[in-house]
Amino acid sequence: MLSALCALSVLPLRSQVRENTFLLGFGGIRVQDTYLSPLKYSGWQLSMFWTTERESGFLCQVQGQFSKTNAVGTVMSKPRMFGGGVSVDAGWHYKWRPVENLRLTLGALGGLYAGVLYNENNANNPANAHANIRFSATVGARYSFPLWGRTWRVDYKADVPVIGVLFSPEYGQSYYEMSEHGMSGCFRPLWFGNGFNLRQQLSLDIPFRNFYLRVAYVNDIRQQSVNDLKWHDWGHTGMIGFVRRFSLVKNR
Amino acid sequence: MKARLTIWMTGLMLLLAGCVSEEPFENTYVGNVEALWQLIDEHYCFLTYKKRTLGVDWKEVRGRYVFARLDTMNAYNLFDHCAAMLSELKDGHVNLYSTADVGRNWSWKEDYPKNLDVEVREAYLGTKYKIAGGLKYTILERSRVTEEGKTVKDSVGYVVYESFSSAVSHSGINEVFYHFIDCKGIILDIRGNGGGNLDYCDILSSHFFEKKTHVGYMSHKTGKGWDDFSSPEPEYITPPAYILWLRPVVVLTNRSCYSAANTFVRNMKRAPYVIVAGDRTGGGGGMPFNAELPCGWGVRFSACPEYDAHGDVVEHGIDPDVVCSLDTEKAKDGVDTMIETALSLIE
Repeated sequence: MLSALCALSVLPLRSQVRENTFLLGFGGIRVQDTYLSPLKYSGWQLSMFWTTERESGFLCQVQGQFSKTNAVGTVMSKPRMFGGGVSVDAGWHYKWRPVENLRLTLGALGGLYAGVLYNENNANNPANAHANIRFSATVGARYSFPLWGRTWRVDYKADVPVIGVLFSPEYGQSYYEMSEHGMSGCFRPLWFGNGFNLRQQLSLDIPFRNFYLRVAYVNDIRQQSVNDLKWHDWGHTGMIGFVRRFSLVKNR
Repeated sequence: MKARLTIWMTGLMLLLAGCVSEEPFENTYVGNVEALWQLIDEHYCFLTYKKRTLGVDWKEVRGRYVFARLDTMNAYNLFDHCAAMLSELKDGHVNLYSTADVGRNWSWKEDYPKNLDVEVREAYLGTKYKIAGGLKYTILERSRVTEEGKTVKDSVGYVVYESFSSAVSHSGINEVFYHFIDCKGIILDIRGNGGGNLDYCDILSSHFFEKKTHVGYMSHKTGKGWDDFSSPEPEYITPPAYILWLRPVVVLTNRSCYSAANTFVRNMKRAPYVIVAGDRTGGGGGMPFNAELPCGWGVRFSACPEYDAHGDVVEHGIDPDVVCSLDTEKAKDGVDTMIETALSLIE
């Protein structure tokens, strides 16, 4: 028994460095979905963002948001819409350092988005779903600089879906009909031509004892134009959270 | 050179993509009337059908309403003006909603005899009737003299379903049929049923079919043109794994049977052992959608047309197999001549 323990103790150790980020945010949003209403809506959104990044370049991120909006410009009443969605993306990015304090990244992500918009004025078509499966390009730049004896970081990151498949009902198709007769015709290719989507984030990492406090601005552009239906969901969010860097040590 | 080309291509793609947005009309009196007219022009599914059957030319309607003198109106007048424009379509699924009023055209029922006396119907139900979800039911017992001169007692199940917005379930229908186990047939009275949930329509009608049956078609608009429709999808009713009623059924109808009730009659006309008796249904063969005007008023309109098994539009109602009406004089004596006709059809 003792000899076995001794044998284990001399096995080489493999270290896996990870950086986990968790952010919560609040901001403004502008929404239009012509399946539900020709009007434009604006209001607020709450959002959450979690990401894990490994030294190897593996990246996984999850984003969720909830929004409440009112029709823009209506005088006689203020119709409301509620929305929510989740996106999950994973992939790899390649990192290089052209100068000592600057890290650039370029990579690819595969992921999906699923969300729903609910219009409380509509009894017959109260909600519309938005979903896509996509491959995205991701680019980033991180600049580290010393301040007050600690290393601060400024980070910019952008994800742009390049190609994929999206879901949209046909122009006047009801969800009742979809449930009865299937959804053929509801899946269309996703590319720049039917909706340019973008998520970009500019952040400042403020060092604390064993983590960074991250303050970020996030701009989300989700939109599509298919089947004569137009949808956009443009968000500007201020976020705050923490970044922790740690090592998982595995016995090999 | 390559890098420059890539930058130009990326820029070009972003320019092509741009922002996806549609500018709504301005929130002015003219803007709201124009928005309403365009909403119907692009989304309403019966414009060609209404032009052919009722002579309603929606392009001509624009001239009369959008270019009318609006500057002398207040908000209430504007609402009435917009409601009058929608009223041209003579469609019960076309409505304008504000906090003060609902714009409507109910000529599909208001221009015809009611063929329903609720008090007389309640007298037939009595006070001991049972309730299974939205279904009120009881047993009507009648004595009759046979050809051999014998007096026999017949039991007929009587079910009143006032709205397809009230829930029905397979298990509830099972209970109703179990209660009617000794009955010769059922009278299903849907007079005054203005519609509701199509799922309940499918659930209820499925208990009267012995095999999967084609009952009609449904399609939807695929674009802004008046005739941009998907190819009609056949609709079937499949009998459920519950009690099926394969004895005589009489469905009682009047002009107030609308929307989901109209679809129910369409389905039941394909069921074996079923006779539809009464007046023509009110129609409403277009599943409605909602939208909004710049001022915030809600609009409802028919968006997905329904057809019967022969491919005919059911927007303007469905004829019964047996025409009968309510004799208002006899109704004063507590006799519902339509229920009596239904009883004689079952006997």
